[in-house]
Amino acid sequence: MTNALLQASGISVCRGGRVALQPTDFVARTGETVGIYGPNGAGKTTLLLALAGLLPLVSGTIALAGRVLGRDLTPLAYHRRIAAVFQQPLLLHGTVAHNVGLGLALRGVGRYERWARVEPVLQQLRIAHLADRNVGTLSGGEAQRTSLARALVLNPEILYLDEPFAALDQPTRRRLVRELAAVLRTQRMATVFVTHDLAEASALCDRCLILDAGVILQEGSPKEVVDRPQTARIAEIVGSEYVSNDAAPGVDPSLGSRAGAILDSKGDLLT
Amino acid sequence: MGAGSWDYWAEIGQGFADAVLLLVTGDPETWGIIRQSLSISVSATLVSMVFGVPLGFWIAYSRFPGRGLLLAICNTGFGLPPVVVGLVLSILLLRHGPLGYLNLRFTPYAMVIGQFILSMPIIINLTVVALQQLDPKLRLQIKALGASRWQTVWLLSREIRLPLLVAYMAGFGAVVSEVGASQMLGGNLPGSTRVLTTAIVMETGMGHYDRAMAYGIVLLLLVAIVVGLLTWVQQSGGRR
Repeated sequence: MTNALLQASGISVCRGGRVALQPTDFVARTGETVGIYGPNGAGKTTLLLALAGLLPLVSGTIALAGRVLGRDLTPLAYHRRIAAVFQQPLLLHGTVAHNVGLGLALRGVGRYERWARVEPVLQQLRIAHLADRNVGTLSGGEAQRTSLARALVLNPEILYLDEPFAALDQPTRRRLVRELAAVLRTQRMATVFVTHDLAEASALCDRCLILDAGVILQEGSPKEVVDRPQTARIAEIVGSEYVSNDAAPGVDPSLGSRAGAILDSKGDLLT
Repeated sequence: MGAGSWDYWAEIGQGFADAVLLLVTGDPETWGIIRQSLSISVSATLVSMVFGVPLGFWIAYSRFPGRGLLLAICNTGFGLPPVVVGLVLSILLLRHGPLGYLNLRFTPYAMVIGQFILSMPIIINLTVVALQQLDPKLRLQIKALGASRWQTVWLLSREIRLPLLVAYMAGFGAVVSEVGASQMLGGNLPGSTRVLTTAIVMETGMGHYDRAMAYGIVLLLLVAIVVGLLTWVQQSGGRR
């Protein structure tokens, strides 16, 4: 695909002496949200960290707008065009405003311009009243909003989200997913979103990859992978009873009802 | 002279009173030695920080063959015998030795070098431990924010600033109370390389217990301040 913003070809990663990611191709386009879904230990975070240029690759290349990372593009230059939010907020000592402005400060943006850019993002994520609060005093939801603001203020070309809501309680989580969906609709960036929650994937993603044991098993719209899993293993992962090609028997029929529940909750999430 | 004899205790008491008098009246010799002790040990520990903290980052975050061995050497460094450091450096600094051309033997600089070597392993080690206690993803987050290598080191140093303060004080406490290397490298020359510890040894040998006690009191106070600050930092660090 020539209009791909991010193109990874044959990237693989070893962690702790074993292969965590088999050679994998990955594409993301501007304005698109790509979900990475799979069970625990599938290699979702590994794939995200590799794409974000935060893990050494064993093989393969990553290109941003046609420029290959490590050849035409230094890691630092690449990192200054992306942003990442992890499951833990990972804030640094200081106030909320300091944390949100940190990426801009690292890029040499002066104090006044920094605040001019930080303030609207704080408003957008409803944490403007916390600007001068020390991050040690924040609740989990507030801390994750700060982390999200710190990424969004950079106006990145690619936004990497690694289960950003997994550590939050259900109501906070729903509210944040809803707000993030609104932000992603208005800001035209590519988003890579790791989750083990299909409802979140449905609410946010245009396209979804099913990852298991370091291999991408299937790719399609969230509805597609739930409705038409190609193998029994995928059906098991997404909790669906339907397998599109008949060559994959042996799916536990009791899993079927969960898929329905997930699609219900999608509607619920978006209201 | 029985330990219980009146004369003995009277003499010790008099010595203690004289020691306090030397300190409060600002006796130039006493305070000169205190100043020299502080400036040598403070600067030696500062030099150790300048080299030890970046080395700690390097050991904590890079993977290379022999890394475990290097860490082990740093751990052994905690128990590095000061007299051995003094001996090796003295040999190197002998007039016909490899570093003899520097003419540093029996100068405060030789003492700074010795104390630098003694405090360095402590600082490297405490830096590595502090970094290993951070969330490993924090470094990735900082990189993903677009931090250059030195910006990363700076931001992570800010995160471990309390442990780094602890490392500095632990290093300082170790070298300010050390006598073997200081004696061998400095030679206890008045007005130049005479510091609290070497002065205590000398004055005790000469029977000047009042002066020895005055230096002892100051040394104890210094170490008490260091230990007090360490405890305070660790306690308040736990609350943050």
